[in-house]
Amino acid sequence: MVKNKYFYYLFLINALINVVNFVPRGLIAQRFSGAMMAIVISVPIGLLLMYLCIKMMSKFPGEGIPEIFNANYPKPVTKFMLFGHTLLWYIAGLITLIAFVDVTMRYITSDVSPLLIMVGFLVVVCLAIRVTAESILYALEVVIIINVPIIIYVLFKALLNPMFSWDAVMQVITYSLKAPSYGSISYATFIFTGYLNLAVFNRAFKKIRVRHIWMIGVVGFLVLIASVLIPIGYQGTIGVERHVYPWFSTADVLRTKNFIVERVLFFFYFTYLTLSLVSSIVHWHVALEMLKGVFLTEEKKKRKIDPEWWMILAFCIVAFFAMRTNQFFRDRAGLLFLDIRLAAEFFLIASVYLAYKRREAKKRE
Amino acid sequence: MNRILCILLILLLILPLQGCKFKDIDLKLFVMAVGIDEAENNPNKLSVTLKIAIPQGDPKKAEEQVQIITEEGDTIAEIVRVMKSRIDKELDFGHCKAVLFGEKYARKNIREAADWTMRRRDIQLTIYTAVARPSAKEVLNVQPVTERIPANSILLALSKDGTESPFIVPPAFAYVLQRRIDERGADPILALVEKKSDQEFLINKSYLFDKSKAVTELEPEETRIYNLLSLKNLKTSLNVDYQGLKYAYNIEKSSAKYKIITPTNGTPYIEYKIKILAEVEESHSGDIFNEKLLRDLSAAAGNQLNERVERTLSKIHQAKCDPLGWGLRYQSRHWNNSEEWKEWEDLSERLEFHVKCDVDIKYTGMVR
Repeated sequence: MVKNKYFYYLFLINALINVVNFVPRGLIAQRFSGAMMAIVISVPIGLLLMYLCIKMMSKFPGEGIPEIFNANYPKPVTKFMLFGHTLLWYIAGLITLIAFVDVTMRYITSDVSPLLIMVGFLVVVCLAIRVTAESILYALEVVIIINVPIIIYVLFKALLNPMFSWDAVMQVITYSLKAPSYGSISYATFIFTGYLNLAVFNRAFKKIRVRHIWMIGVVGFLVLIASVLIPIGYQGTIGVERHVYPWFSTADVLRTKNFIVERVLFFFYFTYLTLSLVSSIVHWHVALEMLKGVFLTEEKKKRKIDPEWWMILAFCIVAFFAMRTNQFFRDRAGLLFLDIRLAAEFFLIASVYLAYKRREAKKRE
Repeated sequence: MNRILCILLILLLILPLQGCKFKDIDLKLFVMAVGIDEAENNPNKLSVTLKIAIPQGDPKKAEEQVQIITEEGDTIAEIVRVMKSRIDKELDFGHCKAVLFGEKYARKNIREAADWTMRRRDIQLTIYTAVARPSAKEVLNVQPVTERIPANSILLALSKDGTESPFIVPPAFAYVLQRRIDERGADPILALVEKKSDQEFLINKSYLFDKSKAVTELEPEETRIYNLLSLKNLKTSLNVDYQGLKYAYNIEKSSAKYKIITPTNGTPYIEYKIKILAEVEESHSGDIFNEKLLRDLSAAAGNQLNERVERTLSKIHQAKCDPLGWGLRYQSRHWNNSEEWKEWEDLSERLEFHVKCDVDIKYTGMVR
């Protein structure tokens, strides 16, 4: 059992990783048509969903979604829902990994084959997703505590640079009154999605209670504002569209004189490398547990090879196939994922609520 | 089972041990600066000049070894590939710090060259750009005696890491250039590097761009005023004539602010407020300074600077360029998104400038 503070880390990892997961790109594409308003609206929506989810999960102390569903729903429904969630969580981790392989190719080692980089990432991720939820949460804490100061340093560096154009930022802010689309709201709410990992990580919490939920709102809002407006301040209101990875381009723009490496890009890259690996581990851990909930419900026969390995093997094979997609397909798939994710979130919370109702009804009988 | 897995894992970890996929440093040539010109005989072709440093052990020994190669072709990428067969080692652009556009080329259009620098993944976004006269090739061939690392002298000057001349405009990094080319309501301004002799170059003018075309040249004096308007605490001295005598003051602190004011009836104007805190650096009068003289001198300095700033602003305005980003400022302060650009285009035609320089000469230097 872990303390409630680990919930904040689950939120933070998602909030920080948005830079890799196409959130800035989706919002920047709509900067003149409602992205700013979407950011404002996403805060109450994200907080509401988070509050409901915590409320629901606290009714099932120490249990994850697979247990809850298996106990309260008919089998085919459970299997169907768990499989759907497996897919979403798997894709969440996969997008982060593929995007990061791409970033590594573009900025760091243009001569190494992307397949080899992927193999390296997969080895780390696949070995780590099998450990217990507690261990992953402890690792998450360490990584976040090491990396957040570096990110804050980069942010200050970015905001204090005389080349930063506040006029460009203001120009985008004057577009705040446009009505947002569903897409832009779903991109923006991704920041708050970290709470959803409770679906499996709830196993590690005694009875989840989160205090100061408004603080999460403030932090999420600032993170969103920063991740959209800082690239605009450097690349201009029009030119920002040109950049494939707006945030890595922004880090490339920065220089530091008080560090061994002159280009901020390099330590920004390593910060985000660790964060994305941990984020993928969190997502794939959830995916793996969900998948185990689909296939390993009854009899726990001693098999020669732990069936987990087959699932992990499937994860890897799909990942290698996903490497063959091109840049534009990935963009579209990434944004489509964010769209579907918001709807699935509502669905998940509703289904947990229903499970709770069914359990209460059973108890009364 | 576990043993087999462990062995597999170890085998997997051996994979990356095949060594560096990179070429070793002694197999590389580092491009320090790129010059892009129009080809001499054919205006539709490009000519690219690379200034290449040869890696050396001891940077203290000032025997710089440099190779300069020029090649012509249709695209920059193609020219670089052709060059690769003229040299023995791999070209590395990772340390390239400057791109110079020949004057003739810049006057035509620098869009392709700007695109190339942004797109190529090994070129940093913080590369310096400038216009070269008479051509990028000739400027890159200049070898100042003070230079210790190839092409370093141009970099030191453009970045202001070395000399801090008031006549060099703030660095136009590749990303700043691209952002201003794309932006509505801002235009690039690039420093102009001129060749004076085989061992000396001169950077004291600048080029105004209309998006990606170089249009008008700013004289040294105008470039300095531009710097005064766009930078905080510009390091320079300025002259004043007072009662027929010359004085010079050194700027300690300076700041410039502006507002775009559109009166309901009347011509729109930009109001510049410049605040300067200064000290006397030179006096031709021989008198001992008193409080009144210092105050009068400040007032005279303010008035004379007003005139100089207004002259520069109206020249920039007449060139129909926007290096100070007035258009962007106008748009960023107005919420009627669909009309604001039209409004600005209409309004910028008949813009006037009101300048208020507040020069405060506070100290007389070490003597009175």
